[in-house]
Amino acid sequence: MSEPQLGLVQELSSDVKHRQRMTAEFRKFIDGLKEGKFLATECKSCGKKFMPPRFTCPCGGKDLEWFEVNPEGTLYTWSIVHFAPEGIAKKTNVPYAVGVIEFEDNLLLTGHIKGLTSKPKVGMKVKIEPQELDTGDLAYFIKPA
Amino acid sequence: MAIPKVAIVGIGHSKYGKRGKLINEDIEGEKATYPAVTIRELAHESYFPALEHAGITNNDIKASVIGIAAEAFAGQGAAAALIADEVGIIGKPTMRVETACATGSTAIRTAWAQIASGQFDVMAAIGVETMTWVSTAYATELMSVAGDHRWEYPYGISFPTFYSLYAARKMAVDGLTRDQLSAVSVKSHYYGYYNKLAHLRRKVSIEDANQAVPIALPLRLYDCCLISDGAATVILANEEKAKEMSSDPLWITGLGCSSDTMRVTDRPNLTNLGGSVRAAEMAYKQSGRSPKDIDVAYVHDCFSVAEVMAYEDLGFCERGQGGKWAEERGPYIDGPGVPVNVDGGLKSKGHPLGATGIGQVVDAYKQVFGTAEKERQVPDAKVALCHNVGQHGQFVNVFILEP
Ligand SMILES: [Zn+2]
Repeated sequence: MSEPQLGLVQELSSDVKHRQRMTAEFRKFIDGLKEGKFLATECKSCGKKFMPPRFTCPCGGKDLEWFEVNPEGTLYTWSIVHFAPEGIAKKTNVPYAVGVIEFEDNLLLTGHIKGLTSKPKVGMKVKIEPQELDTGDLAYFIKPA
Repeated sequence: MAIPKVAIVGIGHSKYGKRGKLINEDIEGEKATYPAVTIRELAHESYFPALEHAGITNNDIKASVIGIAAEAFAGQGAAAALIADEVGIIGKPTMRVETACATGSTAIRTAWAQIASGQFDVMAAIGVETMTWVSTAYATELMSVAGDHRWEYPYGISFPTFYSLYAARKMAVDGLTRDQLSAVSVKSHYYGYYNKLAHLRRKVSIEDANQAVPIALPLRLYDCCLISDGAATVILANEEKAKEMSSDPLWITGLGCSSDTMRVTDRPNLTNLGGSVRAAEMAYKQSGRSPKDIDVAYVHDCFSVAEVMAYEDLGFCERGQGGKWAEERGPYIDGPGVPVNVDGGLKSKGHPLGATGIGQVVDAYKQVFGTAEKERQVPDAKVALCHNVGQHGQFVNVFILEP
């Protein structure tokens, strides 16, 4: 097998997407993406911030406030996947790159990395970008900044 | 604080491997044949030798706990009922437990608790899994859906990918190298070669491991454990029964357990597993032992980087030095530190999920009583440690075992 080519990430298949059961709160996160915003939540009881957003807090708090996260950050870690789980493999070509972006306040988010022109590097400047897919669905990708 | 006295009094361990087909093994002229089997026969293969080893019959077994991580692998619902029935533990309480890859040790912990509480005096913990019936893509799927289904799985985070996220981070933060990861796999395969019950008895070199096909970079083929079929059983007994039935009881003197966040991004770092640190601390405290007292250790090496983290999390070397310790032959029998995974580990012996944690204890028993193959026997081993991890630290059990 040859060494990986980078930036081959494709959109998620619909049967994977449907596992993300929609709720009113999750809808708000998706709507945020539509406006180009990355929304996280903060618990009003204990002050903890959550990205990805949580809609209930492990402290028992149910009152969480939305706030917008600066989409720029650094690459916390990465992987280039050569063998995909069956549900992903149906629509996504391997290899694909995934990573974790670190935003301010040490908030971390997992996602696909798109647009790599060289091997990913921990600490490199990256940003997270919403994207409307051909299907009209929304996704987000980690991209070199 | 000492915990109630419960001992391992019987052990049984099937051959691990691709057990759906006949296996003809020929290692240095030593031939062995293993028939094609299903979870039913695998359970037999580990259970009855354990019963015989304990010198008892099914009448003495008061209850059972069955470890099966994913029923979808075998396609059998309510699998505990099937396994208990197959081995003749009928009309007595049974249950299936599941904590992903730590299922086996959780079966032991569950049986331990039922004995320690005084409810039963003698029990069987049976772990069994058949994983090679399904395609590799489907096996990958079954293990990947254990990631957060909203925030992790949809991004194609397969199980190896989780650990590759740790590996890439550990390389950047701790200076872990490709050669160091390979050194772990080379050791596992070296010892696995001499273990007759191991799945893949083949020695590999640093070069083999460095150049193997990528699975989820930075991890390559030899960084990843095997997908195996297999079964393992231990018979547990309370103090009175253990002393009565066994001349060689192996006492569980420490039984630590912990958990961690569901999402990898909620961890304080990706260079160690907090669950392992906490479980080990508990086990050391209960047993009054420390890392320097351990003569032989079994750590959860689902991936090479997981073994490196375990060296550090269990206190066998300094934090951040696990890779270096592997390279300096720390975990070898003739090395300067604690011998680790002298059964071949998950990497070479194999990783039939529900059996793995029990299989570790079975081999620890052999080491402590000096009955392992001579090439991989630790001289005068007395205190053993077993470390079994589910997912990437969401479930962890650490046992300390002593004669
Ligand atoms: Zn809170």
